[in-house]
Amino acid sequence: MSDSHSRHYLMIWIWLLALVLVSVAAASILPKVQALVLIFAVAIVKALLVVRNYMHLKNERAIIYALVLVPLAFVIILLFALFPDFVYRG
Amino acid sequence: MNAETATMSGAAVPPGKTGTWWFLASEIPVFGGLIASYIVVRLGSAGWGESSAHLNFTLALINTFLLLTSSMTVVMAHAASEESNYRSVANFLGLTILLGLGFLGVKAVEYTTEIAHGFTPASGIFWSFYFGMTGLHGLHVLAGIIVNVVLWIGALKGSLAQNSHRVELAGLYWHFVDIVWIFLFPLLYLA
Amino acid sequence: MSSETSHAPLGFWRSHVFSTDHKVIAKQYLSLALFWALMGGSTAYLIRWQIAYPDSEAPGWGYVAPDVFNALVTMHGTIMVFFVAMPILLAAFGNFLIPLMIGAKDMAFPRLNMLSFWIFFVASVVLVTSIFVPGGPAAAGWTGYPPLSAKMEYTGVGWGMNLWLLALALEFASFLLGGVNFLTTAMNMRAPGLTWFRLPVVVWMQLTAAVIFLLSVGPLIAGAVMLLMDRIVGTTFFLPEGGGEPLLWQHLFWFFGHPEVYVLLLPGFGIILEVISVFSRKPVFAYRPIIYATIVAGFLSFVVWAHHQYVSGLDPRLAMPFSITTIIISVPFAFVIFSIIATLWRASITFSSPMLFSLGSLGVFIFGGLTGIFNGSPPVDIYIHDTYFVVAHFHYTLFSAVFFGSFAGIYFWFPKMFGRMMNETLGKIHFWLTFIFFNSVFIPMHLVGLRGMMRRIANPMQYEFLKPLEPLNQFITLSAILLLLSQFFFVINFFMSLVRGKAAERNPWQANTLEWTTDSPPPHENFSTTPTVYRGPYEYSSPDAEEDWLPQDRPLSAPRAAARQEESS
Repeated sequence: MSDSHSRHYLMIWIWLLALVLVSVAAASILPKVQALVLIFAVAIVKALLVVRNYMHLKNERAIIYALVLVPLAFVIILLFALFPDFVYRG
Repeated sequence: MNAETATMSGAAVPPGKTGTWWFLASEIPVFGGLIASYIVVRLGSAGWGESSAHLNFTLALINTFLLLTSSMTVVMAHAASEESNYRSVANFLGLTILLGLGFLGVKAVEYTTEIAHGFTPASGIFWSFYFGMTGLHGLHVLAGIIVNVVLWIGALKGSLAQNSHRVELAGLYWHFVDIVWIFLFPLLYLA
Repeated sequence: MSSETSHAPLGFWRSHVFSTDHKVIAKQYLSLALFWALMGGSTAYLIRWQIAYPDSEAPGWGYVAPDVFNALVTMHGTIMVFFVAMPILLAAFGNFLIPLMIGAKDMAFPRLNMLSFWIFFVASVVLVTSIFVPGGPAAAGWTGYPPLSAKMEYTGVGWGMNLWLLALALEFASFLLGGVNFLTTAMNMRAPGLTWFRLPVVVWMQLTAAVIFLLSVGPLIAGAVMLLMDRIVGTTFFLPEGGGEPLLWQHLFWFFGHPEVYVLLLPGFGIILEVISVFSRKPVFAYRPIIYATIVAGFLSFVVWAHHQYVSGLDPRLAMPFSITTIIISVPFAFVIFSIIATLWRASITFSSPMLFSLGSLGVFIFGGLTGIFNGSPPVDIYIHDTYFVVAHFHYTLFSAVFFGSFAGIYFWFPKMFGRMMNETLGKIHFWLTFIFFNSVFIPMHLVGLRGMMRRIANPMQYEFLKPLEPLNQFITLSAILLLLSQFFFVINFFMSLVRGKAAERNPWQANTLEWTTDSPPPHENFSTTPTVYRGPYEYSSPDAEEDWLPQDRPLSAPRAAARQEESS
């Protein structure tokens, strides 16, 4: 029981480290825009790995999912609402 | 935790975990607000790439490894607590603490080097965000270390057995702090 | 959390000062908030005196200098919102009512609850300290807009503003922990049979308010850290000369600031709904839709914030979407108001003090809600922004929830909290004087605003076009002084009743909710045995009972139940 858990956690850790290296590689190899897209996609995947596997969100009830998704949704709304004032100027 | 109250309404999620997740839900907009501000102000200004070039990428990469590994060690501590193996809990918590201290140590080196080179929080908007975001994150790391130390001492003394679920809760907070760094690292050092 | 059903009696300090009992903590919040209400009322007095009789000596104080005036308006807003409204409506009522109404012994995290109060206490000490440091207290408005707030040179205020930020941060931390406690308690500790839709409306309102607060305060915490760093460490988040953006603060502030007004409103609505149901002997009309409407309004509250920023230099393309969401949010609240009115329709109404305050709250809110629609529309707002029209609007909505709502709640639950009855006659006098003088302060204020009088100016008489408003301003000030003096009827009633009020029985109002099934005041751990709930909270005038009320925890007697069966078959 504990062994399979430990192995699982170790596997996730290896993946996380590998993904970091992918980001670093992307930053030096790819052109700017593609690199950014890949890097942030990778960041999202890493976060998901931690949330689902280390924080055990995949085993939790829907309400706990909501506690992560709803605040995130509000943050994203805030982010987009800020664009006109700071990014799309003039 | 009172088992009677947990069953009173048939809720499957124990109070401590519910409370911790609500707390984390409230922390998401704290860093979310700061990060959203950084993103839009950065996208709206020119010349930040030049400022961020002065950051020490290698040290930040080391910090990323330290923190990711510490997430792994803290979840191992949780697994050990589920099996009441408090020796193992203490070992893994100890590792987590060391990795966390390592993170703060590297950050301290970064900060002192940057300040010595004349890049202080007063050096303009990029540095305001850099010190603000990593500073607030660092304070959260410190708070997590303190919590982990308290639990580590409990594991060594044997008193943790009464409240073993707290290892999981501390772990949840620690993972949150790790996830914030997962985003701060590319935002500040790779972009 | 180990449950101790019996333990050695605690000493004075552990049972009255460092107590983990939610009822004691509620009273601690209430006491501290009433102290702050006195402070807040004093700032109102001085502000109004200076406006009506500029540069004269205010009785009891003296000359109000312009920079002192700025500090007064700042502290008035800060104190009233964060140190009066929040602690009374959320902390005091939420703490007192939630465990009792769900049949629980205490909160899920009693020690965290105690910590929350003491953090709030420290926040209060910090705010009081800020008044006495060199440079005086914060003076950049309760909204603290930079660049004015970001550099000491602009206001002359140094540590006063830094301590203000610290006090707010501590207050936020206190209420965050409180919110976590309320939500976990309600999710995990409801009595057997108490399903979500058998909860009293006031509990739903408290929980929704807690969620709204929890999810909205984050960006302002971030902003407060940024502002503090700008002031102390030299960062330039909000300072244009360093590449910063003053408008960013406004977004971060109002992203929280707007949901915050609903955090204040909802508990008020909840209180008046409870009171109105009891004194109408009728169920709350459309109970479930009210809850759904409130949750929808809660979500909407997160996407209306920029209506505070129409004339700030905001990108004009944002004005339309935000005004649309602002108009939409009036719909669920209108629904709740209509449901309250429907509850009253053909009801058997008793005009007790709590009921009078609830009805007053309802009427005042309708008025305030209507002027909100004017403010929410950009073409109108361009003219009325930053005038006294806005001040009148939000005082109507805030007084509804905070003033009238709190008093309704205090008069209603005083017997349960303190085991004594308040004096009805004094209560009625308090209500009528408050209602009359409140309206005589704030109705003319709409006119003053429409005539162009700006907010936050110490001496309106320096402007030619405002000189004709002097008599009206003086009338408002006189009414305000009378409004403040009228509160003495409450203060006298409160303290007199504490010591000499008639002893209260368990259920003086013949109400259905669980708090009325235990002693007044409830003992430590509230209930001798955990209640079992059989029905919703609003079975008034039910055919299943002889009396016009039917408590949640009373099982139907066998003959009655059988008769019911027969009837329905």
